[in-house]
Amino acid sequence: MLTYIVRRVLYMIPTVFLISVVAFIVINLPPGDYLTSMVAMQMEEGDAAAAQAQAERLRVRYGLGEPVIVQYWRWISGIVLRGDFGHSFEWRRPVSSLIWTRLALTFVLSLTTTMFIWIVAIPIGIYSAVKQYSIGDYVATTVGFIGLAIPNFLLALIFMYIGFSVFGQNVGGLYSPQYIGEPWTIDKILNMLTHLWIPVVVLGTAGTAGLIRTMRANLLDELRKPYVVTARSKGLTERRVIMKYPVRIAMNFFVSAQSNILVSLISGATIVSVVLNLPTTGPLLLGALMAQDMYLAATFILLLSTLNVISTLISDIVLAWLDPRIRYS
Amino acid sequence: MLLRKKIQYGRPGSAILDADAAGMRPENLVEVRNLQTHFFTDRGIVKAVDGVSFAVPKGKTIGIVGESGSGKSITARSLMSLIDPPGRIVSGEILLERQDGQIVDIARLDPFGSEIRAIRGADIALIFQEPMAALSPVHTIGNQIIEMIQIHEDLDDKAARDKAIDMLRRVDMPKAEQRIDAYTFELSGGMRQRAMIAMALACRPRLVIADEPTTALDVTTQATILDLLRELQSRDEMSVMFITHDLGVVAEIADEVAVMYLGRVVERGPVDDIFEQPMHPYTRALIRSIPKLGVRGRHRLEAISGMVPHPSNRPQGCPFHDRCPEFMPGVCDRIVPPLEKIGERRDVSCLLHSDVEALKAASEQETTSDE
Ligand SMILES: Nc1ncnc2c1ncn2[C@@H]1O[C@H](COP(=O)(O)OP(=O)(O)O)[C@@H](O)[C@H]1O
Ligand code: SF4
Ligand SMILES: [Mg+2]
Repeated sequence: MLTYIVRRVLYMIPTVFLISVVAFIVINLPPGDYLTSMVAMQMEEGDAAAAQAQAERLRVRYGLGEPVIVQYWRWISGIVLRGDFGHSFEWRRPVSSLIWTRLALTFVLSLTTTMFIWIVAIPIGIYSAVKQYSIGDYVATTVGFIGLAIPNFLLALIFMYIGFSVFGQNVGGLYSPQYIGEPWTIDKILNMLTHLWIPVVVLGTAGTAGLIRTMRANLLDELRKPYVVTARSKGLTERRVIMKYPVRIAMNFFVSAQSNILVSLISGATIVSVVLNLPTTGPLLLGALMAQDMYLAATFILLLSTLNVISTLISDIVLAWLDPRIRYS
Repeated sequence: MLLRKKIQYGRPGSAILDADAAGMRPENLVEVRNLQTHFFTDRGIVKAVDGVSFAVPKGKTIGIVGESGSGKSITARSLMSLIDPPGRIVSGEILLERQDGQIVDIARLDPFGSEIRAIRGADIALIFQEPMAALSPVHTIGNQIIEMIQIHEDLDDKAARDKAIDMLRRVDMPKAEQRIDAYTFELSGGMRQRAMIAMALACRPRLVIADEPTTALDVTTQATILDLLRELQSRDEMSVMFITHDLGVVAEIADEVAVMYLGRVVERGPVDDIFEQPMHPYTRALIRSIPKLGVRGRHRLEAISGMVPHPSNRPQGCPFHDRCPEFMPGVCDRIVPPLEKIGERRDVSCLLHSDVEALKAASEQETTSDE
C-alpha cells in the first residue's frame, strides 16, 4: 500500500510540471504586451516617470521581452523558491496577495459541496436500488432527472429569489455586506455558513442527481451477484448483507466517479459565482483571462489543476484502500 | 428484494409442527412435499419448480440430477427460502428436523425472519458452483468464514479465527494460517472451493447443499474435491444434497438419487436401483448418455433428442412427452403423470407405471364436476 502511494505521488510531479508549461504557454499565445498598454494607461493618468520605472523593474524581474522559455523559468523558479507567483498587471499587485483567500474559499465551497453531494446521494442511491420500483425510488429518479436538467445559473437565480423573498436574506456574496473586508471572526464564519447553503445546493444538485444514478445502477448490478446469496445463506440480517457486501463493492465505482468531481465543481462554480457574486477564484480567473492578465491567469490555472491532480490522487488511494485487487496489482 | 410485505408463504398456520402431526419418517432429515416455486415475471409465470417431492435421509447423500434448467438450483434455494422476487414459494412443504428434534416447515417461514436466519448456515449450508463469484472479492476468506462462525456461535474474534483456521485445515487447505488472510483472487480454483466448503461446514450443519460444486473446476481438482466432500460427509455424519447434471458423478457419490425434469422429480430411489433398473424413460436416456470408461472427452454416446422446453411453455400432460421414445399418443399428452410409489423409497412419475384408466376416470370426473 505504501509503495503504491509513493509511486502515485511520484507520477504526480511530471503531471504538474506539464500542466504548468501548458498553462504558461497558452496564456502567452495571444499577441500584445500588457505591460506596454499598462504604461500607456498610467501615463495618461499623469505619473509618467513612476510608471516607466515600475515597468522597467517588472521587465527585468520576470524577463519580459525575452524568449518564452526564459519567462517561464523566471516564473516557475520564483514560485518554487520564493512563493512569488508573478505580478497582476490588472490589479497592480503581486498575484500571491490576490489568490490565497479566493483559493481557500473555492476550496471550502467545493469541499462542502462534495460533502453535501455524498451525504445526500449515497443514502438515496442505496435506498433507490434496494427498493427498486418503489414509490420512493420513482420520486428519487424523477427529482434526479429534474436536478440534472436545470442549468445551474437558473437554479442560482431561483434560490436567490427564494432566499430573498422568503428569508429576507441578501443572498449575493458569501457573507453579509458589513463583513466585507473585516478580519475573520466567529461571527463572520457563522454569517458565511448562512450564505453558503445556496451555492452548495446550487452547485451540488446536478452532481447529486448524477451520483444517485451511478450509485443506484452499480448497486443494482451488485445486488444480483452470487456473493449476495452466499451472504444471505449464512443467516445474516438483510441490512447487514446489503451494507457489508454489495454496498461496499458499489462504493468502489462511487469513489472512482469522484476523481474528476473537483473539475466539474470548479468550472460549474465559476458561472454560479458570477451570478451569486461570490469571491471565489472563478470570477477572478474569468476577468484575468479576458484582460490578458497573464500571471494571474496562469497561476489560477496551475493551482486549480494541481488541486485536481491531488483530488484524483486521493480518490485513487481511497480506491486502493477499498479494493484489494487494485492494491495488490 | 427487501419488501417486507407480509405475504402468506405456503399454507396458513404455524410453521412449527410436532413430529406426529408432520408425519415425517424418522430416518429423514428433510422431506420436500409437492414444492412449487414460481417466478411472476412480466412475460408470465415461470414455473421453475412445479411439484417436487423427495426426502433427504439422515447422514446420507442424495444426488439431484437433471439437465440445465430443470429447476435444481431453484429447488436448492427454496430449501433455504432464498428465492428473490419476482419468485416465491407458492405451495408445498419443506419439513426439516432441527437439531433439537423440532420440526419446522421452511415453506411457511418469513424469508426475512429470525427463524429462517437461525436455520441458514447452522442447520443447512450451501456450497455454490462458482466460488469466485460466490465469495466476496474484497473481503479475505478468513473474514467471511469468521463471520459465519460468529453469526451462530458466541465466540470472540480470537477463538473464531482459530476455529476458521482449523476448518481450513480440515478441508486440506495448504498453509491454512497464512491463507486465511488471502483474497479469492490470490487463490486457485480448487483452493477457493475448499474455502467455500470450509465456510459452509464451519457451524457443523446437518445438511449441506452442494450446487454443482465441481462444474467450474478442472478434472483432477474435481476428483479431489469430490473425495474431500465424501470424507467430510462420513466423518461428520451430515446429509449432503449433491446437485449435478452428471450422472457419472452421482454414481460415485450418492446413496439415493432424484432425477428432475422441467421442475418435477420424475424418478427417485436408491442409487443402485436407479442405475440397474431405471423405470422412467428420461432416466434411461440419461444413463445411456453417460460417457463409458475409455471413451475420451465429453462425447455423449447417445444424446437425448430434442431440447428441454422452457418452463414458461410447459407441454400438456407429461412434461417429457415431446422427447419420450415411449410416448403414448392420446394418453401422455393429456394426463399429468402422478408420482407413484413403486417400492421402498422408490417413486416414479410415468404413465407406463400408473393405472391410466383410473386416472382418466378421475380427470373426467373433475372436468364434469367443474361444469
Ligand atoms: N429470477 C428468475 N426469473 C425467472 N425465471 C427464473 C429465475 N431464476 C430461474 N428461473 C428459471 O427457472 C428455471 C430453473 O432454473 P434452475 O433451477 O437454475 O435450473 P438448473 O439449476 O436445474 O439448471 C430456468 O428455466 C430459469 O429460466
Ligand atoms: S408418461 Fe408417457 S411421455 Fe411421459 S415419460 Fe411416461 S411414457 Fe414417456
Ligand atoms: Mg443450476
